[in-house]
Amino acid sequence: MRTQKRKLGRGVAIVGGAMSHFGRSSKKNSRDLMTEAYVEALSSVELGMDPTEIEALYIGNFSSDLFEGQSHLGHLMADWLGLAPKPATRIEGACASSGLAFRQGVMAVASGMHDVVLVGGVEKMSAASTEGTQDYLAKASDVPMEVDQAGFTFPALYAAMSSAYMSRYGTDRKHLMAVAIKNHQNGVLNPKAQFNLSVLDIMGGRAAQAKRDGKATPHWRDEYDFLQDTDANPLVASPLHLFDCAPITDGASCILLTTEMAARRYTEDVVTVIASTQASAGPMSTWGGDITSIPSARIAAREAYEMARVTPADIDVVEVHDCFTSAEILAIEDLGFFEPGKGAGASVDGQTNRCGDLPVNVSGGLKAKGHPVGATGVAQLQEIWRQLSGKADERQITHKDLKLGLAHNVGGTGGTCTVHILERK
Amino acid sequence: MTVKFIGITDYYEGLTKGKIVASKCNKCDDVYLPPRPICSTCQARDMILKELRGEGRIIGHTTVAVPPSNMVDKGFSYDRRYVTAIVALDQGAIIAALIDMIGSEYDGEVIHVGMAVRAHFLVQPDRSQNEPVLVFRPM
Repeated sequence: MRTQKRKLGRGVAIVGGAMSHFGRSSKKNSRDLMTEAYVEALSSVELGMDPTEIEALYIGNFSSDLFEGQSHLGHLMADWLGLAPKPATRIEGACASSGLAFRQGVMAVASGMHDVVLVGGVEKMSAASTEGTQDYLAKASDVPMEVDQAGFTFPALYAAMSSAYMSRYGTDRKHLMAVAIKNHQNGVLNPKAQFNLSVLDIMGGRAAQAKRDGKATPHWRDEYDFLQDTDANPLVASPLHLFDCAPITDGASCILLTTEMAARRYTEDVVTVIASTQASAGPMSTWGGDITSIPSARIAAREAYEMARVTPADIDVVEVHDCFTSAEILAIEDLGFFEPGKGAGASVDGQTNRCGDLPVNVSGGLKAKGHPVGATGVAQLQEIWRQLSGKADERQITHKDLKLGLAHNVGGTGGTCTVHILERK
Repeated sequence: MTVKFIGITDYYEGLTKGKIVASKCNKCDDVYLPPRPICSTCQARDMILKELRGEGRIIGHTTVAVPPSNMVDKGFSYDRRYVTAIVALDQGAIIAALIDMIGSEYDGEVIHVGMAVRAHFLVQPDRSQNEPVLVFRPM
């Protein structure tokens, strides 16, 4: 039994943050993407920050080795951002790589080792073929047992979890579609999102394209009808179709951390880290037979609420790891916002819409914002920081006062999970 | 003297003999696949190898339309799909394995959570690997 109390040695604050444009960019490599995020993060510090104040870098990256043929990314980023000889460390935890990098930065500041730290994440994915990308992402599973023996891909693993969930709770594909429709709708307001198009926009675009090509114009009644059409939305791994999956994305993200004490030197709007937790799990075969929920997420969430001394009901805004639409449903249950089996209806009923009781993925989520895997964790956290400090521009939530925000970042099928809670002071 | 730990090699050796070899913890009786040296439930290191009968139930499944390259090499594609699953064996362990439909009347539509399945060992026709592949068929 773990009984020790989790607390930070000293308070940690976010004073700046940014993400690069997310999308496919054939001309940009991971250094270019990271530069874009870093320069904007520096200029986001209201009262300014001298780059020489940065004492260390923690960079999340899943697999530049496979995607770009480049290992040893930490020192390259330090050099490219003009920050060598400051210590730079690359952190890998699959799609949770930069959730981990953020956590390492928090611990470095909290411990007293460093006063100002850069945390970030980067992934350049689009140079590989779609088949190559799928193979590389599958390296984050238990390769001999899940891929070599059983032919699982990443979508297939989440699909198996989804089949168990749908069977237990009697939900259907409409619940998954509602998550995609919501997150695409949110992405419309995010100029840096890979898709700032609603599903309705995409549907209209497809119909217009068919007309231009002189093909029979498809007549979809609504978004749900469009998503039912397997020509428009082909199967990936049942029940998951293309619009259930986060896209292949190039992108980087960056956050500047300092002590809570020093934060007012940089900004008037101080946002602090009040919980930073992380849990591990083996592959699904070790979960004891229940694959309708991710054990590491439940544990990291419970410990985060304990550390922050808050409850799920206190949280005002959330970014969750919707690598698949089904994953968002599991996430909002694992985080304690909905009872098991009730998360499926949240998007359908509008509870998690940007104007709902609990806005989830107002950035567009991984689905619409894009999912450069190693950059995702810090991208989520900079969105929460923007929302809490009133810097979210057009997508700023205004129908409620924002005090506490939470970010949930998952690596693999929950082999790694981080949960962070931020507070506006 | 080197100590030999139970591990995934024991699983592959079992497959070559047409057996599913798991580990069983002598302290808490929990069974794991592939066999492991330290019990994940109780951390005991008193583990023995145990052959399983290979009967169980599907707890999660999917029909894969976009296969990984190792399955593309076996001839699968968007138009030639396969079913894979997470199977809970009656004797305790859980494993990821293909559902073999070749030569049977089953297709992906009939596979469901809770379906009873039995293990089969498929020898690879191209001898691409030494040991047979563990698959399950509906009972």
